Amino acid sequence: MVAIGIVLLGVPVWSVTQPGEAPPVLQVSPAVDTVMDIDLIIESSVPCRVEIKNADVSIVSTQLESAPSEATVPIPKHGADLVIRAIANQPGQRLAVRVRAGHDGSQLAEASFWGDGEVAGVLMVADPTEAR
Amino acid sequence: MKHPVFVAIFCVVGLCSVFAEGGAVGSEKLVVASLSTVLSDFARQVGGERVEVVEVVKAGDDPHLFEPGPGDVKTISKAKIVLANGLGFEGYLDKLKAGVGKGPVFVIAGDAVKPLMMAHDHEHHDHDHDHGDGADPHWWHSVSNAKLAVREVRDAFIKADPAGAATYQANTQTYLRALEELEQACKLEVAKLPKSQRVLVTSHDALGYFANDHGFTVLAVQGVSTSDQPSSKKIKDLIDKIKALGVKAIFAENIENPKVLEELTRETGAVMGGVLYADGLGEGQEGTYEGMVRHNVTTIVRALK
Repeated sequence: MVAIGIVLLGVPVWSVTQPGEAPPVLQVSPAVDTVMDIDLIIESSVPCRVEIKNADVSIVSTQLESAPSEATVPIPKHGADLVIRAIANQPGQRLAVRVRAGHDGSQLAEASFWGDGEVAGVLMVADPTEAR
Repeated sequence: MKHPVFVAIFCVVGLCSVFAEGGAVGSEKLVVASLSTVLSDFARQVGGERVEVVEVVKAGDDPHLFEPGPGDVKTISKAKIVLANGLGFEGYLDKLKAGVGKGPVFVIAGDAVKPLMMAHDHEHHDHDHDHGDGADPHWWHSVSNAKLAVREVRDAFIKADPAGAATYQANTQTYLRALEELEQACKLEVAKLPKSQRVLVTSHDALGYFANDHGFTVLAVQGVSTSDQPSSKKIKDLIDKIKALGVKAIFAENIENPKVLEELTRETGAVMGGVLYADGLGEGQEGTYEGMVRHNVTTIVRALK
């Protein structure tokens, strides 16, 4: 009995005093009901490199040719301001980029941006319950 | 009439100076007196070399507490145009108009902008409504309103000085392009902040137009004027809200004593996010409208990110 007691007492002492890995930290993920998936359709007039950021974090980075590009990305359910930046493959080339955002088959937002060689703009995606 | 003595002084000084100088401008330039540092900058941008801008209210003055003295009335009465914010910002405006007589033309920028009605159109802000149901007079914190005000200034200059019309038109066109770029730059900068972090805690409630344009909620210690004093209950409510929303930073203003805000940081754990220009321009880089707006936006985003 004494031996069992020593072993039982020893386990927590051992685990606390062991060097190496820190105790696991509770990872807080965004609750499922605070995030929604939106479908993005991105088109451009000429081949270009497109990057889309949400809250300064890159969520899409793609090379666009003639066909539109599609992506599904998570954003906060209450909406997000997406920053669109595109750079034409050929410097200085007149460039137009259109981005559409949809959710559950409904279009939430659409914006077009024009520029010479590069474009930058913000696509404001509203909370779908407010947009409808 | 609230201040009959002041009105009498305004009238006497104003009339004396009009009679003494015949209302003449005194130089070949179009003399523009400005009651706002923001409008002073617009006048310089639109007028260029053709105008002489006399800044009655200067950078660092608290325009909410400013009252023109006899010297100011004399200066204003010599101008051909007087620029004012309007929407109740200059509480002395009617007295001043009476004091300077029919000499200068008053251009009220607030009459040209899209006003934000505090009690009705401001649903997603957290105003206390202790300022009544009027329009928020800090219209310049929306760049789209600034563009409307610049056009108003241009039209007034052309009317007063038709010979300079081409210059005023060209200068305005150039400046409006710069304001378009500024507006776009603000959107790109604010987009770095998640919407859930767009809570603006400031000394007084002056950034409603900015908040409305960019989806912020404003929590202000004072009301719409720097002369409003917060109750202890309001401070307590504010502390509770800051804690509940997990606000990272709160902002002082260039002309305000940050003592109450420092107390808030101690109570809430939020940090001081920097100094904002709420009631007008500053000096140096913040001495222009563009500089002031860029400073405010980058300060806010950097602190709340």
